[in-house]
Amino acid sequence: MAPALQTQNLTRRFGRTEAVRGLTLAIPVGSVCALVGPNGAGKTTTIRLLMNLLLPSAGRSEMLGVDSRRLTAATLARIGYVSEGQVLPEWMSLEQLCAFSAPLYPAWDTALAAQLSRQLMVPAGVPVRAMSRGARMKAALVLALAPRPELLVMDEPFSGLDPLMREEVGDALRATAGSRTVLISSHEVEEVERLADRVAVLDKGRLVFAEPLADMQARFRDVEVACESAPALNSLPPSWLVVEALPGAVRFVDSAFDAASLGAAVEHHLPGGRVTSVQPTSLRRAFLALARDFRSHPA
Amino acid sequence: MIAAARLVRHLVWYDLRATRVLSLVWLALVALDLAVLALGPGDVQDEFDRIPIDLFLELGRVLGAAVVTVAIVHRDPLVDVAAFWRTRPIPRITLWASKWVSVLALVVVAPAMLLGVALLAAGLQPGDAARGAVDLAFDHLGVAAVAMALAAPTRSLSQAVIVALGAAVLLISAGMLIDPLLPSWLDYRPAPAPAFSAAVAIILAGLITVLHYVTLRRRLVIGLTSGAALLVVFMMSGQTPFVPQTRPPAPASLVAPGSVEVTLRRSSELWRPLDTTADAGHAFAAPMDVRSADPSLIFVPRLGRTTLHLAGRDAAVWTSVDEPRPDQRRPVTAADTPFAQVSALEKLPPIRPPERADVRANGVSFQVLPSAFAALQAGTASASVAIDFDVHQLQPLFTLPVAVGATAMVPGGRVRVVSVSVRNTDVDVQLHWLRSSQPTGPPAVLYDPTRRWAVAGGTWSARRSATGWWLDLDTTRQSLTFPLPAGARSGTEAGGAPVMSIVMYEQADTGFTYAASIGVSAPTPAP
Repeated sequence: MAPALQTQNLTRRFGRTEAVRGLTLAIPVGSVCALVGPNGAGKTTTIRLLMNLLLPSAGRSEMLGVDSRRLTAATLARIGYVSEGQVLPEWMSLEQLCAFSAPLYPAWDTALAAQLSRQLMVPAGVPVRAMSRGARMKAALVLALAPRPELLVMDEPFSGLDPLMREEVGDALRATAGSRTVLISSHEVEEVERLADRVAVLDKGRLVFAEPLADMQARFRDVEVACESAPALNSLPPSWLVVEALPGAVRFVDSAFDAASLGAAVEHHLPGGRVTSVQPTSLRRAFLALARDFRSHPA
Repeated sequence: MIAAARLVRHLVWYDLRATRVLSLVWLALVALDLAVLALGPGDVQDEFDRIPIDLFLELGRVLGAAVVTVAIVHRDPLVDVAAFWRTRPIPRITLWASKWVSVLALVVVAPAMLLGVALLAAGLQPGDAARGAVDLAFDHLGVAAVAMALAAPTRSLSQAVIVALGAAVLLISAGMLIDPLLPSWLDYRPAPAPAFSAAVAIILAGLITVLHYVTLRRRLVIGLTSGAALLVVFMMSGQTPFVPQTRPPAPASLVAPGSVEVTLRRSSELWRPLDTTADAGHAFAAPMDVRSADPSLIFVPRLGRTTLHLAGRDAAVWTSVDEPRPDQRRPVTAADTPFAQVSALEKLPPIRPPERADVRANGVSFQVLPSAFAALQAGTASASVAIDFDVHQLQPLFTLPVAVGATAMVPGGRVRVVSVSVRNTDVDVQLHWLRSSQPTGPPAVLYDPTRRWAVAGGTWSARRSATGWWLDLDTTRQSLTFPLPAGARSGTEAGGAPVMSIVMYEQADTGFTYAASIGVSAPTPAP
């Protein structure tokens, strides 16, 4: 089955700055992919390229099998889009926006729109211009979900929301997930970890890796090694990230964990060391480890 | 197609609904303006009382049309990457069509219908009212087209205003920079009819907005808009075309050859030395009487080549009512024939009073080199000049008693006397002029029709706009000022019966004009 969304060597330059560099990515149908990365990693630019809001400098992208540069109304009717900075028509209330949008989408679900409005407690009858930031985001989410899109693209949907609102938005997304494909970009790693089954990490416009979340969780481990003497930390494997020397111990994130070979690797690189703890790494910690590693080793 | 039409209707409904407050305010202003236009002002005595009202209503209506258009377009801005509408399943061409339909409905059709109703209520014939409504619609369509071209690549009214100001600066700067680089003959490029230029502007604006909606290439659209504006301004700033030399000569019955005389006096105060250089010679300027037996004729000096003769030698020179052509701007030298044209034929009054068959031109002037001047003074040379005139025939438009409330129906409209006042020796008459065009010349004012005594020199105080369309301020109210006839104390005699009448003429729509070559000769030198 063709991926719901894919890019090939996608590149976008702003003057001399390459915001996205040769991005090649494919997201299978039905998966929920988290696009994570630090600020300036190129997440928003990538999504805007996918949505044809920006034109690529090189490469191409497809949404639901259609070239992004040729997205038609029929294709857009199958895509839901929520963006942090998206400008909504400010003179309309959510009800008016729904009434306006309904004829545009063949699969618009009026009942779902009403249910989501209630569930998210979007203020009724209030024009968008009078809504809080969180309420606007919720309204945008209702508009994106009510057409039951095959593909949902969300750019920083949790930005600026308080924890309660994040929880509500997350619940709404999970409740309406079904078999749709979702691309969600965020640096709120904990939030997307609860939603995503795939993860793609961007840094400085480049794709660091993209894989199923389960594979990533299997690959990353927090490792602690007890050492009797202070070890030399200058020739460690590149897959050991964020290595910290503690009194009598060394702690690191192993990004290529293999239980069978870990002991030998520790013995080789930290002579006399003994693995005392191996714990699953949270997505947040893995993301931070990767980000710090890239910051210290840009190449 | 049906689905697209439904979608357009859906979008138009939301556009009109979203702009309802602004639109209603503007339509109220339009209704007020059109009511004043159609029903006429009250007894307005003071010019200062009426100008602000007219200016407010006129400017409010035109600027309001632009603002409403921009507001409709900006309800769904397609500018910027955060634009909501770029991620909705609306074909952009449909969105474009919906904008035009909304603008046409609100800015073009609604005011035109209001004006049609107002004109019918004012007593005009349905055909005339429809013509006025169509003229207004065309007027507003031009405003809306320009406003749409400004609104499409911008996101807010302030941005659109900035772009408009920038475009104006660009046009002026480009004109100043480019004009000296153009070949001189381009200065005399013909200007197409204003309606044609307006139609071109509307079509270009429509194409540019389509291009923006389809491609969303903002810089390209702004560049093309600037180019289109340059093109239209270039077109509209052309000159009135030269009258083709192939025009048929005036028949003898229309103007008699030799009926025009100009005297070149050998020794006269009319000669004045030119002080530019010692060799510049003298200039001659003489009043010229154009006489004809037909009072309905007007004579307009033709631009172009004129022949001078001095002592049997021909000199081809140019006459002009303005500046000489650039390629004619050169100093006169001894190598030239003795006569060379320097200054201009001043404009002849383009209308003839009906009772006196003469029009006085301010003069015809030549520069004469010292040798030629000496020959003329010595009486050893004679001179003649042939000047071509276009001869237009006029037809009476209406006769209106000078009395408040007097009304005359004219083709396509109506004229009414709003006020009459006598100030010192002048009579001021204000007319409500409900017509798409004004007469081609100043009116004649008759005092006591039984004696048919005419006062010439009435003038229009208002300017005519470049477009001459229906709702121009200048064509809706006019003010006449003419000298009080001798013995008259007011516009009425005892009993209130009007004794003065205004007679206006306009050029007959004959489809062509005559050319008459009128000889002007100096007297034979005294022996």
